[in-house]
Amino acid sequence: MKRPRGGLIDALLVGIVLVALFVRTPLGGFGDWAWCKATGETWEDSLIASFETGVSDEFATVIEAIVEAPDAYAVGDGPFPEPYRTAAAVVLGTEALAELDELHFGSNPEATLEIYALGEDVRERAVQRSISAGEEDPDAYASHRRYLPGSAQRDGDRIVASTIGAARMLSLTWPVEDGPITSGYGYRTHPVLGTRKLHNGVDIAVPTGTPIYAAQDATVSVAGEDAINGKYLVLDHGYGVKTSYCHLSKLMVEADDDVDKASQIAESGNTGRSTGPHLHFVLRIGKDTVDPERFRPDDQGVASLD
Amino acid sequence: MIAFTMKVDALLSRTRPGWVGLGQLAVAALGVHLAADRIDDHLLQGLLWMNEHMVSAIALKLGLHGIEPDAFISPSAWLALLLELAVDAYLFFSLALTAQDPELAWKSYQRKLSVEAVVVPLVWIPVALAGSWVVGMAVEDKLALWHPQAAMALGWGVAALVGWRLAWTGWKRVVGGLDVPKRRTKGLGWAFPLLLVGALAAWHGLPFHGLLP
Repeated sequence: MKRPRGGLIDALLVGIVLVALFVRTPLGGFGDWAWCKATGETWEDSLIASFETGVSDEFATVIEAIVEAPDAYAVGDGPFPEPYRTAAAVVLGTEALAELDELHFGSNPEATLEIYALGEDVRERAVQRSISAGEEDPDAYASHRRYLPGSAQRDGDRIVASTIGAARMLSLTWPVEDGPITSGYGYRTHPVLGTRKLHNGVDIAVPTGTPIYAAQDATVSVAGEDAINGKYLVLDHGYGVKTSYCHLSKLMVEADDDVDKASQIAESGNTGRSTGPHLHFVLRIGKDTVDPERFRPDDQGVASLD
Repeated sequence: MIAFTMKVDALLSRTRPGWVGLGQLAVAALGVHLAADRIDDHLLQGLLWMNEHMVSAIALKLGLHGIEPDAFISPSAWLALLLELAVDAYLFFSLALTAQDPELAWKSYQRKLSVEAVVVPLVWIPVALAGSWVVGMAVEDKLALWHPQAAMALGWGVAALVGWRLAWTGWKRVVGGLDVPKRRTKGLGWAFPLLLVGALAAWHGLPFHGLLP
């Protein structure tokens, strides 16, 4: 009878595959969760982390720091451009700027940050894999992130995603040219239902048909209509930054469209559950909504570095 | 040293049926994840459709607060995760209920023909191959600091070995272990999610796009 062979090589392969499974999939996340439960450690990760494109935990805090004390983060000029410069100074520290200036050859700041964080070889390998797998925009960090090693994903999220996200928040534009805020961000009594609830955005009173502009470069996540929000848009500005625009009368973009900052995306209206013509504008960082007024550009109140 | 290695190899070879299924399943699960990673956007569109046509209208009638338009983004990721785990579980049972090295014969397969008998082998191929590629990438990443070119070759070598020793044997096991169905429609309920995952793994999990004109 023939003796079976190849057990050693198969065992090695199974070992490698199991390690890859643990590091790269939510099944590994379950293992991590179980381990933390067993050892009494706090489990801080998320099982859906692998579906998200790099929102860092420290993100919201970083943005708040810039907005609360813009002067404290004023940095000099250099090849690495604004608003990424200020964002990098906050996220990475001012000492990182010299290296970023040296690495930056006028290409996109995202690539410079990634090379700073991971090195050119690691990035290039991920881009090549991304091309092989048919990604639409292989150069973008969000596209080739899934082809990076696990540790590089964490470093990339911490450095690239946080800095680019911060830079995008620092250079938002206001979605309408003019219009008073009739209901601000925070807890309020709902004008129709009469119940107290967090108003997660701002209401800007504008006549029906007023042009609505994209707050930042974005991809349209959702272009929809329902009985409550009326016609609405959700724009994804990348790295956890999203804006929503509700009660519109006319949508001028469709889901998956790419839109430029300050380009017209809709006309305001009074659709859905609404007591009068207005725009309900929501700004979200990661899982949490924030007060959009705190990020309103310079000419309308707050600093813009763009 | 050689004698010792041979002894270990013999021991592991004898016990192989006890543990190799774990590797076969893991390689498929890696491919399933690569596909599920693309599925959340599609699920988001489904949830939004439900909100547009049902949920918001009911909330309006009952005087309830509506659901924020971006509130579905996180649930769609959780649904993608559930789908991924469900497909993993299905493949686990397909493997676990099967003999280690079943005979493959066309006549025997014809007797077992059902929706499941078509779908499962069809889906196994792209997910297991995608999983093999993921393992190859992980090996390349680990070795790249030492020698980038050699790491690439070794990565592809390991991917090929995983494909042959785990993905291929897993496929044979899944096909050979099919039951004679009571009804030809057996597996119909699982066909759509399995085919969706298989199609996404084939399109996004296999590195052939760079070779296309």
